[in-house]
Amino acid sequence: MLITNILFILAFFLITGVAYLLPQFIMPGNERSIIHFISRYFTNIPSMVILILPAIFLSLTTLGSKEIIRAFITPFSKEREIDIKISFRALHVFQIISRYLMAIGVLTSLIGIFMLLKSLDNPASIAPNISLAFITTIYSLIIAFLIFNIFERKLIVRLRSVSGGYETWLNIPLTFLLIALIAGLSSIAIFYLIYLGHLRYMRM
Amino acid sequence: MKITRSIVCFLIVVTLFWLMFYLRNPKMLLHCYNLGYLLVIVGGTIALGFISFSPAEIGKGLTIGWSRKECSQDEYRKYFLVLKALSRNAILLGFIAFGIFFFITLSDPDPKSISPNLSRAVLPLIYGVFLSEIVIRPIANQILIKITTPVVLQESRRDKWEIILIAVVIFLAVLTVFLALIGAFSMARVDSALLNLRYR
Repeated sequence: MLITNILFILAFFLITGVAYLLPQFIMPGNERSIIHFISRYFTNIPSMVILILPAIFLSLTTLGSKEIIRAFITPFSKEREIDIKISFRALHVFQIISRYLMAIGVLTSLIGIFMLLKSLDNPASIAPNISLAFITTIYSLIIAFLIFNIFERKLIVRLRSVSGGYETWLNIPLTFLLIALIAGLSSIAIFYLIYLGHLRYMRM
Repeated sequence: MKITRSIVCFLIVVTLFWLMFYLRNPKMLLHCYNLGYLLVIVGGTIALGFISFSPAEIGKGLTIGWSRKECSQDEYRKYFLVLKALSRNAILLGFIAFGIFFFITLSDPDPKSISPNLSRAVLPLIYGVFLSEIVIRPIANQILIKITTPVVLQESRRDKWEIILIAVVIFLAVLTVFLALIGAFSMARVDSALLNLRYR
């Protein structure tokens, strides 16, 4: 079960990586290639640290470290008769951590907007502050939807098989994940189009 | 032990946020202090809580997460909902204060005062989100962890047609944003072309 999950995640990243890398291979050194766009605008290590470190300590305020590790193991345990109490605890752990991630994303975006408005007189500082404002939100959404949702979904499926009566016809988190992915990819496409237009404008 | 760990982790989170401010711009630390706004948000949250709950209920909700005495599931659920309402009050107050200050600054005719006043308007929103998500939510989650019945799942359970409706609405929203952007670009082009013709 665990191996198939890891394989699926790896396959997802492989396919997306190939899709992003292909233009680079076809036209190396091209400033219009999407890999250049992503490496320039979507990677920011300080904001990743700003997101992840407070999220870890914030989740440690309510949860023990052993509890978090146990929650990550429970969806993949091979025991057929799972304890409902432990499963619900694990489910709550995932929900709490993803909630904290979202909260920190929103807070950092607000702080970025505050800094942006404080230094509107200096035009050079507008762009980095906007990027700080929104990139942590994007990271938090990606982590919460792509990593924590998988564990949550697994636990819900297991609980459904035990207690019954939950959504039997459709896997709800999966649909929301797909919708979010479509929305995110289309927004990236829009930004990419704007970026291309900007390049064209600069040349004119 | 548990409560000391919670307090230490909370202090670490607060220092991390201050460090973020300090590393970006050391002067920002002084700008983001505003005792009046802080009093409005904290006091307003507590006062709004007193409208719907008694002080004893709020006090018990704040301490029940760490108490060693076991309570019934209904009691845990009740105090979780009390704290959830408090956190929602904090965010709402922040938004109301932000809206008021935002419109006051927009009505100001002096263009030089827009930047500092707008940044000051965002402050109560930051305080509200911080109070609700970093201070009250962890206390509420301390209670949520003790609930072993499907309280959260029941909330998130939705009907078949409801899900289809939400999916269609999200799809249409994304589509309209996309089409609006394309329309704006094309209209801008058409407008500029027309203006060029007219003024030639």
